[in-house]
Amino acid sequence: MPKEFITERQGLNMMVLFIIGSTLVVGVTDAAKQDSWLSVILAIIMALPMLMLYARIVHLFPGQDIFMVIHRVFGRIVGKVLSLFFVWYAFHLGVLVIRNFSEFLSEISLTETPQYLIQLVVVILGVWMVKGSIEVLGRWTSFVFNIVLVIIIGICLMAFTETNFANFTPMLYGGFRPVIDGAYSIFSFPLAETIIFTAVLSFLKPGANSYKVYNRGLWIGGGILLAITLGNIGVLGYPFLSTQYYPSYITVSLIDLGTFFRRFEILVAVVFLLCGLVKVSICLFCTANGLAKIFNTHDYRVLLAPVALLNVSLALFIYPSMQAMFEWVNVYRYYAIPFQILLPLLIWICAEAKLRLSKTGAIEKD
Amino acid sequence: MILIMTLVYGLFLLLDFIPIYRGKNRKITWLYLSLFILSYSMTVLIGFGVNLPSPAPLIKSIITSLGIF
Amino acid sequence: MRKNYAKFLFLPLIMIFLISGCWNYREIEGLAIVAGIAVDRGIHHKYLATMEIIGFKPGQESEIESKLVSGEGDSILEAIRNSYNISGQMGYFNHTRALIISQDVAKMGILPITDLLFRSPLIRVSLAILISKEKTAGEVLAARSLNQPIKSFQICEAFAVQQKALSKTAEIKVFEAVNAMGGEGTDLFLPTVGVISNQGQPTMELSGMAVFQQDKLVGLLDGEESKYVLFIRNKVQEGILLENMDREANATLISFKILKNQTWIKPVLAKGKPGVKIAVKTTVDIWELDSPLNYDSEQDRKMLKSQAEKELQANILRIVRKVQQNYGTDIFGFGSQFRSQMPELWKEIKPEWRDYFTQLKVAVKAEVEIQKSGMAIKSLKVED
Repeated sequence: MPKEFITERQGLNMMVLFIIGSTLVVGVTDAAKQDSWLSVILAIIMALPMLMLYARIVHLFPGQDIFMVIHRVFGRIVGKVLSLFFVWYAFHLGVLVIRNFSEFLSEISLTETPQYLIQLVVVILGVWMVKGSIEVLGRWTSFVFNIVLVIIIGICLMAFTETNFANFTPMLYGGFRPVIDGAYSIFSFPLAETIIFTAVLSFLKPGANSYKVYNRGLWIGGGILLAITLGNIGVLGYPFLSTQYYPSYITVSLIDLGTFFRRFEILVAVVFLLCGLVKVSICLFCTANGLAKIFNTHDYRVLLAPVALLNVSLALFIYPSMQAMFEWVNVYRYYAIPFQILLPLLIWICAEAKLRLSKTGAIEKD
Repeated sequence: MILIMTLVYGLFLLLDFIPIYRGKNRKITWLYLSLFILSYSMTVLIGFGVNLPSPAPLIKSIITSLGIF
Repeated sequence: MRKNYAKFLFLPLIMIFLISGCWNYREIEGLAIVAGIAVDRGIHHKYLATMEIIGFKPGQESEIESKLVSGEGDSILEAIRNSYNISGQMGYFNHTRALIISQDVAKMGILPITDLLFRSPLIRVSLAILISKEKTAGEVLAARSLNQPIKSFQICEAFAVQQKALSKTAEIKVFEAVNAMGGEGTDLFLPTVGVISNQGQPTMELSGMAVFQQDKLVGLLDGEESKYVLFIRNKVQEGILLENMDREANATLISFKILKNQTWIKPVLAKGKPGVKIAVKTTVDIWELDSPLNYDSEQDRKMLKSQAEKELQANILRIVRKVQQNYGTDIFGFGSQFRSQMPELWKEIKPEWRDYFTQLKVAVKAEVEIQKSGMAIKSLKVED
């Protein structure tokens, strides 16, 4: 099998779409009410060292993804168990994204279509794309990225005309606690979810810089989140915003430029479709890749289809209702700690130690 | 509903599985089949209206029992 | 070869189910496009919902006409659904522009209505909510409209005119209403719509506002009073300001056209008691004078300015007093100003805000800048 490559730019585009994927419609947490935008900024700053750590892991072992790294660092048995953890996380994340996706679509337009079909269509498309190789995904993402960026910038500029600046006052009314609380929520969903990319960026072209991808991806993705959050607060304001599951959709539906330029909200759905597809594809890729590595086979593609079908099956019954889905967001922030913080830390420390030791060992041999 | 599911799964078997089966890699074939059957049985059960236990409440109870909330 | 056969047999089956089109469909003939909804007290049930439906007259040139259909139910949704029985069509709410609530229903509380509005994915939150000045809300929809065949759309056009020419009421959208009801330190007001006689025919007319305490109606303000509420809320864009001048024993009525207006509300703490300072800066043109007296010398202009300011201040104060004494609800959003400008103080006074509000000391400082007097140099002196 010839080695596949993605360029630095494609990696960056993937990461940005991955970050804004579900958050675009679900909106960031409203723990801090009108200070949510401060939470976003704080979350970006909080995520920076963590993401640099992920980039370091990718950088330490060029051309090897997280599963190979785990395998090399921890040996066979422990490595497999840890890999299984990551596979579960990627798998579960995929399930959540698919469910988000179908809930949103069935709420706004396809009210009578069974969610199963919506999920299936998305997943089949994702399988098809990833089966074409990660390169296909990369190129497709680069193409879509521009469209998404234009739409989002347009929406934010138009939302600016409807903004009521009084909605941002008073600043820090509830004190700093809710801001930090909200910042952590945003850190775990979606910023630190980029841990998945430790399995993708191993396909970076030799010589490409993983730090750059993570760093820029964080700032651009976070910046878009910030713009969307500012727009939502400015246009809708509290407490109305806290009554809505899909604030961005409502915000955009309010934009009225003259009598002709209105009803843009479908653009939000389009952007979400595109970003969601990227996110689902990456999760599928990571799951299949990890499974393949655990079972010592090198072709992850053959496993894509069953993994995807399993994804959909689980997405069907993981939550009994939409309320449960949104309630889960509160659980997720704690649930994600081991996968987003503890395991990467452990891997990083052990990897550094191992590399240092083997290096000194090599020198001694000489 | 179940009909559509079965059709989709059948399609996957036809288009996806047969080349793999011919690849004569036993391990992959078994892995594929086991995942496949697992997901198919889950969807069929859901289609028949069986309430499958979701992992979400379990994870939630684990986290709550850790006392972080 | 056999594999391919199987594939080809299978593909049509798949296509039948997946590629042939949509899961479900709605025919446009089967849909009743709802333009507006009026909610009243029902006779047998709690609510009576009257819906204005956009109908298409068949014929060479398809014309639009407005049809009314109503149903009763114990919840608004049930009332709406029950009306489908009569029309034989499902309602389609994506183009609904106005919701008119009768005073009886508004006195019971409008929370169930707003809840339905922001919960439903089909109804837009940019829908305008109004209160009917008449006995029922349905009769507003039954009245004649002049330009638009669809009355609910006429209401929305009237809002645009209000903003440009009158400022006697303002459009409140669902999300603004929710923010006003649920927000701290601010109460809800909604525009009112009534029926007046125009050329002998009952026609709808937009003016004035309804004052709410929490989600319950407590009183109505007329158009003139509403204008000063809008002055305080900084929602006046253009409109007319009428001033009575007494000069040389001549009562003169001057009409100013408001060009622009800016209002600042500053919460203050005077001697330990919260108070509010309102500063209004209005730019106006003189558009109509009903006496031969002129205001062209500098002294006269100064006097005119100070008189206009005094009267504007008095009018604003009067409406503040009225709302404080009669209704005790903070439709001016003074509390929210405390909240955003003096958050620490607000946390203290928030529990008893209603009491504070009725006792609140309000000082108004108006500045009227008279820019032009139209094309006339002076008013005509009538000679024998």
